[in-house]
Amino acid sequence: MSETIFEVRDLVKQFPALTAVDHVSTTINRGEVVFVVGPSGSGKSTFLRCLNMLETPTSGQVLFKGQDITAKELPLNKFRQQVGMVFQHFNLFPHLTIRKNITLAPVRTHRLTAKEANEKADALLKRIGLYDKRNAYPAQLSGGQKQRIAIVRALAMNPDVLLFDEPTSALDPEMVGEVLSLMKELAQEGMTMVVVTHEIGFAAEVADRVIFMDHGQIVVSGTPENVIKNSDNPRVRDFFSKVL
Amino acid sequence: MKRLLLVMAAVMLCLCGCKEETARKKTLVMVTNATFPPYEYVDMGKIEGIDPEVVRRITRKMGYELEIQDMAFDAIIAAVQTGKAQIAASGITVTEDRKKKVLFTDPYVVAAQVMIVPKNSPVKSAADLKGKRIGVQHGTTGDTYVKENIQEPQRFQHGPDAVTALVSGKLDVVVIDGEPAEAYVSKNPQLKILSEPLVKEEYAFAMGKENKELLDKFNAELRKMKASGELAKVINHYRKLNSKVKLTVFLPPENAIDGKYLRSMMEQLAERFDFRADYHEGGQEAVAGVIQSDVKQIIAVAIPLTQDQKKLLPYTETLILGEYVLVVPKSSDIKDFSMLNGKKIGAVKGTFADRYIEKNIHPAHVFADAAEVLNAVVSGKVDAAVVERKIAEVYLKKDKNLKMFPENFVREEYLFLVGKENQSLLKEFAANMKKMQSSGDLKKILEQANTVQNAKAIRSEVKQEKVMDEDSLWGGIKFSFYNNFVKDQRYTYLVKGFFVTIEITVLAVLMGIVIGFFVAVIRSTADLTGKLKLLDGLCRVYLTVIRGTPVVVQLLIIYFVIFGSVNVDKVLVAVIAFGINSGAYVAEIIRGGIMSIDKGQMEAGQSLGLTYWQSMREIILPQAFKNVLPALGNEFIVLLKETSVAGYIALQDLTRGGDIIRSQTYDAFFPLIAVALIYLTVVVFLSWLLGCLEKRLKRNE
Ligand SMILES: Nc1ncnc2c1ncn2[C@@H]1O[C@H](COP(=O)(O)OP(=O)(O)OP(=O)(O)O)[C@@H](O)[C@H]1O
Ligand SMILES: [Mg+2]
Repeated sequence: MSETIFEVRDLVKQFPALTAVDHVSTTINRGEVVFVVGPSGSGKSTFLRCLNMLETPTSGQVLFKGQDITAKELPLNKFRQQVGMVFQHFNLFPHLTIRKNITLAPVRTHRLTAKEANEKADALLKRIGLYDKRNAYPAQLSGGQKQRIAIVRALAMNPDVLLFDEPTSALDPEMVGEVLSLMKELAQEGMTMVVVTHEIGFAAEVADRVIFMDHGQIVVSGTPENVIKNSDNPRVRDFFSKVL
Repeated sequence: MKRLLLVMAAVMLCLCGCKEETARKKTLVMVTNATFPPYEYVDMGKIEGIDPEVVRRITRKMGYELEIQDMAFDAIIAAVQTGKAQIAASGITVTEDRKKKVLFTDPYVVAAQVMIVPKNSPVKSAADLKGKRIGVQHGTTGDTYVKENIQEPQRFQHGPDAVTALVSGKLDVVVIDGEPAEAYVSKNPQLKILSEPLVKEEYAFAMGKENKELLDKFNAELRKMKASGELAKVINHYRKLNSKVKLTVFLPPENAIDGKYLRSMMEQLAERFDFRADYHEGGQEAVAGVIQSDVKQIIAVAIPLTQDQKKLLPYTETLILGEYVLVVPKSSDIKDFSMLNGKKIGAVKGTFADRYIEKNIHPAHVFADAAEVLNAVVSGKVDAAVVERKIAEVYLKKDKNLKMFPENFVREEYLFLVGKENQSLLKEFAANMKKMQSSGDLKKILEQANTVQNAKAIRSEVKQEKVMDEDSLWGGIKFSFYNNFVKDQRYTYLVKGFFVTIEITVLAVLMGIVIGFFVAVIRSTADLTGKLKLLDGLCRVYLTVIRGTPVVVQLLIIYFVIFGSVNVDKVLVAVIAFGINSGAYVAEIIRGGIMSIDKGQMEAGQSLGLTYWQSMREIILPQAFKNVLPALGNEFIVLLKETSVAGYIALQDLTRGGDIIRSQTYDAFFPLIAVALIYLTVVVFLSWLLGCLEKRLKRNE
């Protein structure tokens, strides 16, 4: 039995007008690659953002490696250092060079010295073939390059888990591939990942488990095979028949 | 936040430090409004007059150092009341009202408020004042008297401004202290002072109520000064100095001998007429400037001018002090003046003729008097004689062997000129000179002057130059320019003021950025996270108050209320006032910059494990700052212009520098235009710099 990274208990996130996450419970184990899919507005992003407390849950608990991160006195930054996040719009720091984008957090959080951080950044950049862009600024990169830098930036913190919120939906179609193949590589290396996406084909290929959400609730959760192809729930079948 | 507190603590400490230091040196601060001759006025950049001199003498005897500060008259009482200064000395009239606020010394002068009117005015006495447009100097006795007994007057910051308004027909009458009134009227011949004063009054020095002890000691010294006659001496000295006509003499720099002779002659004239003589070794260019000066003065120029050149000068009198003719034997081969070369020419030693011959032909043979010279011609010792026409005419009647060329050989003449406001003065002077000439007094003066000058010195030619340009409009502009900027180095008011303005602006902007930065971060944090509510409330109050009140009022409050009882450098006060003011605007600029940054940036920073403040510092602020840099540059430009109100606390900034020149030259055009041009130049330059900066920022994106 492998280690539990996230244990979500009865999570509720209410916005003034609606309940975005409605009594969600699930567990994510180390090494697991979980894809969250569902119609637009179903609460996928909100759920994901609750996992690293970018949204504060209304009720319920999120345990990270057994520790309740919804507890008030917890130093959130210490916890977040162990959880990487990749955003739809990359959110690179435009005023910093690529390398500085990557080294900023490890150095400022005293995880690495400046020298170690630089070495690490260079190694990661070499790995994704963007070493020659190390002194460029984000504005000089293509969308696909930016998103791969954003992934590497999260990796530089050596996180226990990576959260992705629609990492490819802001990209031109020809750039989607390079991002997905990097994500696939990470999955194969055993990185724990929670991915919100509309790329159902990719989910079917890479996911260990697929969660289907609708109206803030988990409708089904299971292997890609069971959720995407053979669900007996009509709402789920209806959704996949439209997107596939 | 902690840092801000530290900075404030440091400032307070420094202020206390300053105060202690003044106490150790036992310096008294005297405040005055130096536009009130002969009591106080600025002469060559220094505050002079009866008040500064009397107070200086008394405080020195009391063992104090004295620092004199110039400020608006209506701020003076407040300055001693609040302890900002110990002595107010500005020809202050003792009134019951003022007695409630301050202590007065014994009166040192009993003076009168008079009425200045145009010469043809229907206003003949105080009874005619009702319903007339009455100008007063703000805060003076005349102001109070007119307001309480007649009607609301029109108030002017400076006496000369009121007089200028009267001259230009904006007022019917100016009520003002008698003595400066004399000075103003003497410069404006179309004005007169009504003989009956409006009200009599006593002048005394004022001190703060808490300074009773100081006052007693001061009074004791003042009484001693009165008893010994020293006070009367000081007062008379300054009155005389200010009422005397100034005789500005331009000595030809190229000709040392004429210069010496002329100087000696003018010295005696000045003594004779009780003028105040002033010598310049300048050329005609300088003359051109002085002619339009404000002072009651006559300019004497020792440079011969042709008739054509004289026609170009508006107000001149030429005084012919001597006409010389050429006398030769009847048999002489000299047929005209051009044939004198190589001939022996006789002249009276040291006369104008002597110098003229030496300069233009060759050294003359000199004799003790005209008779000797003529005898020398008769006896053949010399070929010709140059003597005064009158003497020659008398002599020739007796001696038929000699003949005289009827036309003048040379004329000793001097040109006296004045600015247009001094025309009548010049006429009077010329009439007196003619009287002296006919009575023979002038001759004595010339003879005395002759003995002074040294005939042996080397003489060189005087080059003739025009005093003025042909085009009189251009000439006028040149005069005005000279008078406003060159004369008495008046341009230094603008130069010094410029640096004060820049100093205040730069320091205030830096302070504004520090304040604005903290306020903006507090406000945005409250907006973004809902924390720091209390500080946010304080910041909102600060922003509302500062942006809701005029900067002048803030400046005055900081000077008179907050630093009311502390002796603190005015530049520092201005920097603090403008810095606090600018801080409010900068805060909103920076807050706008922070809020304009995509919220994904903060999320990305925090999701990487940085704290809120780390993300703020490393990610948000650098971007926000870069975005608002142009707006901050703009704020700098706005502030530069706003500091022009610094004059309200008597700081001599650029604008005030122009005001000072204006109050000395009664000319509004040049000083104001110059001030405007300097501001404009700086602003245009800054805008250009900003443009470059923006271009560079864009290129970096
Ligand atoms: N900050 C917010 N305030 C109010 N309502 C919000 C907020 N964020 C999200 N919502 C609402 O909550 C619901 C769920 O939003 P969420 O972004 O989680 O959906 P999603 O499944 O990610 O949709 P999509 O596929 O379009 O990204 C939506 O109706 C959205 O409008
Ligand atoms: Mg979403």
